[in-house]
Amino acid sequence: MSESYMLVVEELESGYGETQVLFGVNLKVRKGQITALLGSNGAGKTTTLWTITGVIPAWRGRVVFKGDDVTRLPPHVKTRMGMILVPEGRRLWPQLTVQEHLEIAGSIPRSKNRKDELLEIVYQLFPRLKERRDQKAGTLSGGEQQMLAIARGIMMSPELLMFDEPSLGLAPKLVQDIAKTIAQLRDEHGLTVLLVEQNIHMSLQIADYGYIMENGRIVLEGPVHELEENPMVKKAYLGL
Amino acid sequence: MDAASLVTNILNGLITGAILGAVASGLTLIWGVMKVVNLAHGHLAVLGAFLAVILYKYTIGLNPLLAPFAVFIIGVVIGAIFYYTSLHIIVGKAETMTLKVEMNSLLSTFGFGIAIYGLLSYAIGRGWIAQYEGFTGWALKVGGKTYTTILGTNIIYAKLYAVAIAVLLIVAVEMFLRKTIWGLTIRAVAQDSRAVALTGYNPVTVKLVTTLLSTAMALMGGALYAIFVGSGINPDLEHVLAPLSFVIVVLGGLGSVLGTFIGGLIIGVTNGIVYALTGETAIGLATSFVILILLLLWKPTGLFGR
Repeated sequence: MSESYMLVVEELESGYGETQVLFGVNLKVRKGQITALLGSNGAGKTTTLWTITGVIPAWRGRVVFKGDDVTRLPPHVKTRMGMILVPEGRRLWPQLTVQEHLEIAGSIPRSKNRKDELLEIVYQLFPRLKERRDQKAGTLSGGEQQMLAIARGIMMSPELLMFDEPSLGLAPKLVQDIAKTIAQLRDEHGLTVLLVEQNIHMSLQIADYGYIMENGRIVLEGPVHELEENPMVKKAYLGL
Repeated sequence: MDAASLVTNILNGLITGAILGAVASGLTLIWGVMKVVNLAHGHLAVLGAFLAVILYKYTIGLNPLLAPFAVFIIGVVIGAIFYYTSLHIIVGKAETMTLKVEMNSLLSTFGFGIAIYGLLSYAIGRGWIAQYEGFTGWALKVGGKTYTTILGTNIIYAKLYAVAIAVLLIVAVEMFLRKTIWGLTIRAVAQDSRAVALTGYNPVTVKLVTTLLSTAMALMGGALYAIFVGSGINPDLEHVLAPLSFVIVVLGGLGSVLGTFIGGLIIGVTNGIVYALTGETAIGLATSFVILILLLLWKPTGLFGR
């Protein structure tokens, strides 16, 4: 059973300083699927990702990645194991060029030997980045920056690719493009995705399974087609 | 003042400038790239000069020409001490180098500098080492002579040797920053260190390596200075090297190693010309700041700044 899951999070608790944000989060990400973690602002979605990656310490609970307990490992070690986060707000290095971002990401041990192949995939997905390869990240448009953030993630040969609000601040047309790209990563490259979003519409379009989060807890989960029919989801999130 | 003495002073200015550029290049790395305002930098360079003397005269009799390399290696060790005593607690966990972190680093590095100054002064006071002892260039002789004549000016060979090593150092560091993954991550870590961690590199390691390199470069710069200087090595040399290093780094553009070298040459030549005109070294130091102000009015980011 457990082999079919890339990531299993059990009873995860964490927070900032004295303030507890997560109160026992349980979620599973099945291999080769897009799992969506949805909820409104302040529900604890980003905190969940920071705790999974180890950027902030877990107070209690476990994070199991590919069958190994990785709860206490620092972020750079988890990254090198193939757990990759495309963080909220992109977090690019504004003074470095597009090419330099991809170079750094493509030089970690797990990617080193297939850097050229990865670069080809990235430029195929985002031809725009190829045009702008010598441009500094700080001078890119919002959409291009999001492309670069995703491209940086792909360059690290992810097994699990986690997205934190990739649609944030983008125009509707660009949101559709990003959604299409994420679906393409699953369908054509077999990637496992954990997608964290406020944009429920966009997420339900492409995800296989979904979790709804409120006040630091998972309040609802299920296959996407079931979630879409759920009266609470309809009322609270889809405005139907 | 005649034309010949002007030429002499310009040539000497170029040589001093190249060495000053090498001394300052470590600062552009730790300050320009990592945003640590390293007030210990001048003290570290002075320590490097003293170490060159100590290695030759008070311990193993190491050839002064080899001293810069040996001092570089010792500098890596001192850099580790520097990082873990003065910087780790401030910059280790910092995600981005905010102004507050910069100011904290200013205070702690100031403290480390004072410690070096105190140690050197103590060692001199106890008679363990003597001040004002450089090598005056005797270490390098070609055909029995320690100097050659260029454009009617006698230039000691050891100075040319020091300049060559300085250029080598600058080129090596510039290549390291531009062409290696280490160089890229060093630049990235100052801009967003959490993103560096999420890209698979330990940000603390990157910051440590930057500090080691910068410290080793500062010490090596001091050792280069010792090769040809006669009576200039004493703890108070810091009061010249530190302000000039800061001027040169800003002049060259923060974070640009090549710019720092060019900045060093400009300051060196300026001092040479001012000395030729006035016969005073102190005025040269003041003129350096005037040049800095004029340049910043024209190009606020420095010569090679971005």
